[in-house]
Amino acid sequence: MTEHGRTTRRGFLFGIGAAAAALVALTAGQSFGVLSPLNLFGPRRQGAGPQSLPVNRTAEQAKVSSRALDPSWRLKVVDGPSTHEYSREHLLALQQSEAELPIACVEGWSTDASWRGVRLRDLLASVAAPLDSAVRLTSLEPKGHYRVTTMGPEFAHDPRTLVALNVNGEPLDLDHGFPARIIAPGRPGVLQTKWLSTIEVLR
Amino acid sequence: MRARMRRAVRIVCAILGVALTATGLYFLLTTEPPAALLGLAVWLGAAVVLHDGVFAPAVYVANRILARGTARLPAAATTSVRILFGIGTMLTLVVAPELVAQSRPHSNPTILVGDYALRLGAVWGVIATAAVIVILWSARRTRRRSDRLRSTRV
Repeated sequence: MTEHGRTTRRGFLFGIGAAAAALVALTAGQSFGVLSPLNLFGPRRQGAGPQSLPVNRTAEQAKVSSRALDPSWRLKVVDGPSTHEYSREHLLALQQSEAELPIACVEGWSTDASWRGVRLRDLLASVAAPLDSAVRLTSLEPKGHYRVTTMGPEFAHDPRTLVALNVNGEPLDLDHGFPARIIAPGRPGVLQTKWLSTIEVLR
Repeated sequence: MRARMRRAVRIVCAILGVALTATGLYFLLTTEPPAALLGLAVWLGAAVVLHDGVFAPAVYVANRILARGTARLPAAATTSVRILFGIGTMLTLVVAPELVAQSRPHSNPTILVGDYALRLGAVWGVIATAAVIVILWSARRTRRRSDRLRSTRV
């Protein structure tokens, strides 16, 4: 494959392929469970973190701890002039649903988890929100690019979209969005609003 | 016949590739807002700058140094050894920012969880061992071939 010390085309292409394969094999385990044992160089590791789930932004980084741990926290569901407020106990007393969904971070890691909480569509039904309504979600965090996000009706009314209160069998860790967070299928991690404060119906 | 076959496969691959790219572009341009497209262009541009400005020159320099070092190796081993060391250089470049970030204070305990320096060292160990095996193997093969040539001449 080498002629007079120069690399041939076949050698070059094989080298590129081998390098790409090596890099994928040694880093993609932070997203794909099968490659997880080979994950030597990925910055995240599947299952490493509180409740076997990595964290993108901690409560400390988001400066949200005192607000999130405040016992007077209430989730506000706002529809025009009317507002419903739910304490965490109140939410836990509602019908609970489960969903197996990943946190799929745009930073390049992904980990599946079992979530438990109240279906967002049940909360929206309790304020008689129409089925084609989008929602605006606001986090308790004082600032951040994704403090306020909008969720289209296709996600808001999906039966797997939860206001999650528990993950992997335990109450949400503060770093995973205690007292309540959003988890929806097919959305990037940054849109899975943690430390949920307000759900606003957009008609 | 084989040449025609190869040509046909290439044309089919090219058409498939162009069609897939066009589909991707169509959905990208029709579903993403202009701000997101701008952000994407900046991100892709930065990737090109990083690749052509940092990655490619570093691999090139490593390869040049290696070309000098491997000049007296059996010809059959040269490419394999170069590929092995190219992979090592590439992985080192990928791990270097992680080592820098790890040495600085960071408040998220779920990121940079591995002992990357140790692992990189181990990978280099595997690469060096593989290179030695390849060199010994190809040297043996070359010797056998020349022995055979000599024996047929007698």
